[in-house]
Amino acid sequence: MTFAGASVGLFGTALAVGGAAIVTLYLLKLKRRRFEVPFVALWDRVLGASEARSLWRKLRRLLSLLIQLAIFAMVVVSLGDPRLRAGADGRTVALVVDQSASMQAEDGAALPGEVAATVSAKRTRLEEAKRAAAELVRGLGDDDEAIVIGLDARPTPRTGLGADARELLSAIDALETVDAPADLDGAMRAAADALRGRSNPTIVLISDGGYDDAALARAIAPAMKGADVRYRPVGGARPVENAAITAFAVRRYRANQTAYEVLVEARSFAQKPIAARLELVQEGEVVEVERLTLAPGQTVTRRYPNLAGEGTRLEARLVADAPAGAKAALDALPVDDRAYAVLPPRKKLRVLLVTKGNLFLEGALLLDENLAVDKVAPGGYDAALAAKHDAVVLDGFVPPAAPPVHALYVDPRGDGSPFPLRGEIKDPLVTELAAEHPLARWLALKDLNITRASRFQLGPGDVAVASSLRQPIIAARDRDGRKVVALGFDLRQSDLPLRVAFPILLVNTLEWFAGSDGGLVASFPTGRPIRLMAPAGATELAVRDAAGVTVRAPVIEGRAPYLAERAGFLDVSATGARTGGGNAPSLVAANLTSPDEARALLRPTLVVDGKTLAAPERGALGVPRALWPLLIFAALALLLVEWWTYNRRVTV
Amino acid sequence: MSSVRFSQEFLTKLEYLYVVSRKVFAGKMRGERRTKKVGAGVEFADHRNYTAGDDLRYLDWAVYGRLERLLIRLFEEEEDLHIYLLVDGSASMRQNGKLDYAVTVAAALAYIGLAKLDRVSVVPLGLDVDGRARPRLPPSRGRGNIWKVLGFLEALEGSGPTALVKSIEGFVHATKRRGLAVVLSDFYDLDGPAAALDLLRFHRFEPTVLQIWSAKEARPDLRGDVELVDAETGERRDVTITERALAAYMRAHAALTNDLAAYCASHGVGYFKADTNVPFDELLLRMLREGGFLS
Repeated sequence: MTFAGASVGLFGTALAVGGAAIVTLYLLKLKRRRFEVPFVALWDRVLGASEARSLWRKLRRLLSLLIQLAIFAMVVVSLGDPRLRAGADGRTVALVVDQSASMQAEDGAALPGEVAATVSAKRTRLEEAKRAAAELVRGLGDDDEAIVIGLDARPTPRTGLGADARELLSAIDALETVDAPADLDGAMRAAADALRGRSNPTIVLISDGGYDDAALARAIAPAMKGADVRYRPVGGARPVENAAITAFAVRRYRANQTAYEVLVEARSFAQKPIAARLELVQEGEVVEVERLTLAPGQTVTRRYPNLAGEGTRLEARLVADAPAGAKAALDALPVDDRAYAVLPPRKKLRVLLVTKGNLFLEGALLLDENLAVDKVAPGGYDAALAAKHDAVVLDGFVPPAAPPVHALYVDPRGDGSPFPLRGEIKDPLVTELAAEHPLARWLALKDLNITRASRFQLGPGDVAVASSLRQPIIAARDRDGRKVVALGFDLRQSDLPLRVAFPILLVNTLEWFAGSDGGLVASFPTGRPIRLMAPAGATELAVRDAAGVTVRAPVIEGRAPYLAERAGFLDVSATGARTGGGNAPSLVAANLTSPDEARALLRPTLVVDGKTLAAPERGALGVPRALWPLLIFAALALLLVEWWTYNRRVTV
Repeated sequence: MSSVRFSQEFLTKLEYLYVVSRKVFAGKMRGERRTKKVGAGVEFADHRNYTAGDDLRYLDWAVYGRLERLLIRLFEEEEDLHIYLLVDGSASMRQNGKLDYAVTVAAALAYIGLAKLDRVSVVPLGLDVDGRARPRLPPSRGRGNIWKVLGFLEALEGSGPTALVKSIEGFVHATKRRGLAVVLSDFYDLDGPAAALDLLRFHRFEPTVLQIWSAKEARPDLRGDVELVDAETGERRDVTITERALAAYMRAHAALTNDLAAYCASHGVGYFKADTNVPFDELLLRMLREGGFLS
């Protein structure tokens, strides 16, 4: 017997304390009502003078005590929800219910009693899956136990392993689809883990089977080694025709960041041609419309250049036309007909150039239309002036205190260098470049000629962007919300200003300072972990998705991990951010861009390792395992006995 | 009179009872008391032969003239009837209005007796706190003494033990004149009533029993775990009263009453069960009609 409710220790304690209380009350002298009678001798003659004090009398009351203790024990033990152990024939079933985006396809079987052909009777695959799961729960044998696992981007058990049908049904009823691909591999592993060591482990996958063969084999084959894997297909009640937006990208032009261009990719997964209208919407207003006719399986890519506008919310919509004679469009999966992107507002970066005069630097900075450059001689520099800018470029000058904003040091000398100097290198060659660092994007420094360069000593977290024989000569640091880049050589003592790499390095540096990844504003795919950039000083990001669900994520190294499960715009707010802490986005977009989901593939059968997965079966009847109803019934019966014996004065 | 027990309505009832009693005795009671002493009086009773020494004033000369026999005329001697009202004043009588009922009945009997020029004395049964007999009301005669009797009765309080035998023993030894002894009590004594009544009978009193009986005591409404406290002795009993025990008590109570009634019947003692639920005047009328203990 097991206890599924209160722990053994808890109700054992309750039993001991309550039992002691009852016994104490039993031992206490009964408080009797007092009556004055005219002739107590007559009562003595009838009852006997010492009847109430007699041992026999007390023994009779002992029966009452025992009954009360038994009632109390039954009630307390029933709180522990005692259950008989499952019989050897009992199964342990993991119900893995698919919640992926394709389960939103409206080709689920109609409910009993509904007319399947009517539009109003359209059911999603998930609804059919939930109904199938509920039927399986109701069909569990008395010795069976089950667990419900939601198959979405983050598969998690929705119940504990148990036989409580009400809890299982409640968990099934609460399942919702997500706008993301499902992690079938994770779900099968979770199911296998839950069933490990259990009797007759059975995994029932309730899904549309919309996974490619490799994913199925990778996820299901290992699970089949330890469990009997069954498959219950859903969907297919009507033909599925679908067209989807499979890509949506927006980027600003590098040269003119006030303009941007958009890339949209639409694809047909239908068996018939689909006529549709492709719309581009900015802040709720349609800015581009184009009619498309998608042949079966055709992919159409459209680029919309030179778009301008202040709005930040961009949305692409694919609106399929209803076929001739039909009331509704063929599109069975609305979720992939929309894609979202955020165009962050672009402002000019204010740069303070501190130099005695450097035409190379001044020229490169002045050519960038996205910069507002102020120039000042080293003598005119102070921290307050620097604080009014977004970044400082220090050319051969090291201020007594580190600037309060992002800083680019060119040939820093002395103790004020952000990176301690470890000597000089004559005629260094750039032998190592940190290609993954934003500063090194599109950068080539291989044949750079430098007369001399300082060697930097790096601290924890510092990055050697360029090194000469592992001696850092260009270093970067991102710490406490402030970014620092240092070039270990004088530009005029190198041929860098004469190279293409020079303006690229400057732009990369300043864009890194600005928090922009090169001007590309991509929306995030749903179902994949992303790392949202946080403003300086933020300790936590709160992300509210299109459904209004808010998720809080801690900020680690300036970024917060997040996994979007719903397509749409995500509002991001930070906790603890400093004023002017950077250009972290407060709005991001998430899109379902999975062709596998958009395909809404349907597999009536699953074949893994050459074996076709069988359909799930009902459980066998057995002995009811939950004992609490019996205990409560027995306690009530004893209560009646106690009541009767008390009123009949048997136990008093 | 500002008495609680004896209201104006009560006094009016006494008058009514007195009138009724006169009617009853006029038609029924005259011949029932033939044991009167013959002697000085005004009412002729009988003749007897003259013997030497008889008072010649009572010689019936008319008979001598006709029959030439010397006969002495005998007259009924007018003798006072002593009525002793023995009222139980123990603590048990305080319950369920028994003492009030007994006092009321005693007052009515006293009024009727006084009005008929009998000598009425009230004797409280029971012992005081010192274990001594309580003071009695000396015999009174005439309706004028009714206030004295009522005042005495009103002062009676239910307290102390009954001690029937001891009380009556004191009564019979302290009373020279025999007469009617009306005992008003609940007779809650397992073996006392017979002995007490025997005492009265053996000392040539004419006892009449009025058992003050309460239905609440005969059929008490007690159930469950209770503590019983004796009204007289203060003794306590922790008992559990079941239906069975209650039935046994009721049988025992009925047996107590029946034993008393059987004793009275077997010894020619007048017995009346005075149910406190029955109006006292109804009881008295029944006593007068059926018992005939008043002359």
